[in-house]
Amino acid sequence: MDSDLILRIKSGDQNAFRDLYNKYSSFIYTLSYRLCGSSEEAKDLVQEFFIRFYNNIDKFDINYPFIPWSKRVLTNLYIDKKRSKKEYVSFEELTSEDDERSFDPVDNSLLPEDMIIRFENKEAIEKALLKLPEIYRVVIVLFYQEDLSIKEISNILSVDEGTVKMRISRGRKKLYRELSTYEV
Amino acid sequence: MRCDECRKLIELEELGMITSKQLSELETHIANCPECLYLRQRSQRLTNSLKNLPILSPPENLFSLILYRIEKEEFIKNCITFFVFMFFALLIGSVFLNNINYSIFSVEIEESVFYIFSLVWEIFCNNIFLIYLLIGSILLFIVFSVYKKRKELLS
Repeated sequence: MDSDLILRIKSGDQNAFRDLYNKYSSFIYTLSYRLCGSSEEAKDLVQEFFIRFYNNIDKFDINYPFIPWSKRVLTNLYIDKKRSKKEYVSFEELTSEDDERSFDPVDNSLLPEDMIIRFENKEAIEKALLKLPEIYRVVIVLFYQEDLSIKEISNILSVDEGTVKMRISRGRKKLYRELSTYEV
Repeated sequence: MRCDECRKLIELEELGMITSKQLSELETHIANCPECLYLRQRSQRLTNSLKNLPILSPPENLFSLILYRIEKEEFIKNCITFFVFMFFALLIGSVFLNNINYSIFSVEIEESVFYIFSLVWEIFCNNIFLIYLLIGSILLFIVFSVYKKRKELLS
């Protein structure tokens, strides 16, 4: 039980902290890696997350489930970090390249089944996801991997719900385009 | 239903916002339109793949790095607490000793707060014993912290 682990950490048991890390580090690292797009940044974010968790353990409510809490905190940490470095690009700063048709044309050069297979290739999707511009990658990760609702994402990113929907759609279009040119 | 309307419904489905009525309209259209059927399949497979990407393993030394940073931060916090404590202890001590007119601290106290700081400085300058005491305390503190850290790492 997480509440037992957290109570043990609160009482100063470092082994409990190690157990909690072992239990959730893969989840936290995966999320960080997909948000940041690089392993170095992901490592920094994971460290920051666990240090903050440890230093503020007294304020942690043991009745609150760890996973949803960690998703929110990790995303906020990531956004704060980007904002403090002034790296987070706002929606308005996008180039006109992003204003495109509502759907990509179908590529007729390949058989439909051959094309479809590309959208199941997880290695290709992982690569394409990391190549996405940050504003699209973040919403796609939050929506499809963290299972956050559009409203929750709009609250975290401080943008309206329409913007979140548009970013998801445009991000997906970029993924389609990237995957269509992927060499199998 | 026209193909462009169908594609809007596919977008709604991607966002998880399609109603059951819209879904049945979509199903009816794709039954007779191979191009929209392809786009729908592509959309569904991408969604499934995005939801089921593999979990990655963090680098092996990451936990050691986290512990190291936590201990470093704790050490710095302890040092700051120690210096603040020492400063106020010396401040209170010097004021108290002046009040009882102790011979080596025979400096008059004025009401100005700033004067208290200059008073502490003056006492430090005039009494090498206090400097020894401060240096000794710092050394003791460092030795204690190193011992504590070593013990934690060994455990």
